[in-house]
Amino acid sequence: MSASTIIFAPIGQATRSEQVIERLENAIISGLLKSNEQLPNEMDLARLMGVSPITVREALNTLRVKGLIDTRRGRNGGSFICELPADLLLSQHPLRQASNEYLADLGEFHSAILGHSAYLAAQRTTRAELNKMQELIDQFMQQSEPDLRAQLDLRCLLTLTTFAQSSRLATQELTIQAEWAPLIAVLYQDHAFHQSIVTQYQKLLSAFHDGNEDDAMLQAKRIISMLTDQMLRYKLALE
Amino acid sequence: MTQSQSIAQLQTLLQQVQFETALTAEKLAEKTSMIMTQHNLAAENGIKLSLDERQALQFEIKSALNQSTYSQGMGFASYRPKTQEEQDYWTLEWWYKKANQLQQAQLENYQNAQRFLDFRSFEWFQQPALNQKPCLHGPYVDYICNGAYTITSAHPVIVHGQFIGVIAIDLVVSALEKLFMPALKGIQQRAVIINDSSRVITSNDVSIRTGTLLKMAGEKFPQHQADQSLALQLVILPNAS
Repeated sequence: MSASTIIFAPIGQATRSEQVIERLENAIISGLLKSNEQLPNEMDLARLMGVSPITVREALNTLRVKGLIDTRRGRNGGSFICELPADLLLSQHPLRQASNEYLADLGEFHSAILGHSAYLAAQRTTRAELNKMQELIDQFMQQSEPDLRAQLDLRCLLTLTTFAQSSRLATQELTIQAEWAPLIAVLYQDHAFHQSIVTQYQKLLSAFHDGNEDDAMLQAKRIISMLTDQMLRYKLALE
Repeated sequence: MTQSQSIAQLQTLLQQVQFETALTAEKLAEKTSMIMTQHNLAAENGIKLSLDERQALQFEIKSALNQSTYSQGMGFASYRPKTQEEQDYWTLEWWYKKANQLQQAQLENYQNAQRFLDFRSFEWFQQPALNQKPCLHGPYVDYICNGAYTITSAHPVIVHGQFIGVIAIDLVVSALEKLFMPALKGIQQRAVIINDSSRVITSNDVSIRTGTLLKMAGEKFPQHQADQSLALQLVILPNAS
């Protein structure tokens, strides 16, 4: 599993080149894009992210100047992610760059999407689907690598929004995950925190088993607020 | 049109939709199997298409999609696990109708994206892979191919007794609604189209929404279907007092 779908998801309006830079920069610094990994070519990136090839070229130039990617010529050429020194990764980490206001606001929006998804899912989920969710949570519990924990967390969240049977909620969740993904992997270095999120998922699942939509909504919102709190705590400890 | 004519019409439509999609899936799976028959399966677990195989397959998918009355998209999905030499590979040869033109969805170029989305977790791939039988999956939110609420008719592709992938035929729920609604409106009582998990495709009652599970005391619904083996069924409920 990798996260490139969410990294290359369509970009919104406003200063497009800056948004492309920020999206890719966050993905590189947080390790979603690994060193020596090849980026799609300019045309493909433009199509995936829904921006013009010129915007992509601008953004790639900036990333090159910043020393985050390098471009190789020839038949196997293209743009590749550079090996980055550990101190740069830490000082440039998206959690350090983001403001508290941004993190809290993103958390509230995510909570709105996930809360209502869980509310609907509590009445719309079959026994077989709940078993699938249980398997996903078990997989999430068994991971020891922060990256894999984060990826399974994202998969659990996406699965929840599909249980709501709403394509809009699922699409919105994928869009939020583009911003969310670079922020959470570092949190899962903390084993106790990982365990607390696993426990919270189990509470959510038991609300589903009871078909209790109000409780399901609360438990789902709690997952997001625990993650948001942890982001803010991590950031505070850095400063 | 009388009420009984509306019911008869819905039954016919339900049969036609399901027979056509199941038959399209079966035929396309057979043709895919023929195309792959020369493929050296002993050398690998799973499949990666050669250029010739891909072109032949594209021709068959496009012609099946052109001939289909009800389907908005169809294709072939296959997963090859990683070997010592190569990474795992996700094949997704996918075509859809847009303004009466056939278009290819460029889904396969981004192997990382496919790894993240992992179509093996969907019933339409999992069931045929497990038991080598066709299945009708959905409605479900399809975030891999069309981003819409979808029902998929899937058929395994078997080559020399070995499962190599799935042919999947998509029915978009909003299009089915258009198809069923005129006849549903002709029924006085609450009339609902459900799947075999009692999930609602569409109904003539605002309180019975698409995607919800139809729940009734006793769990047994009065069936108005000639053929009980079909997954999509018409249910008529007594009016709420």
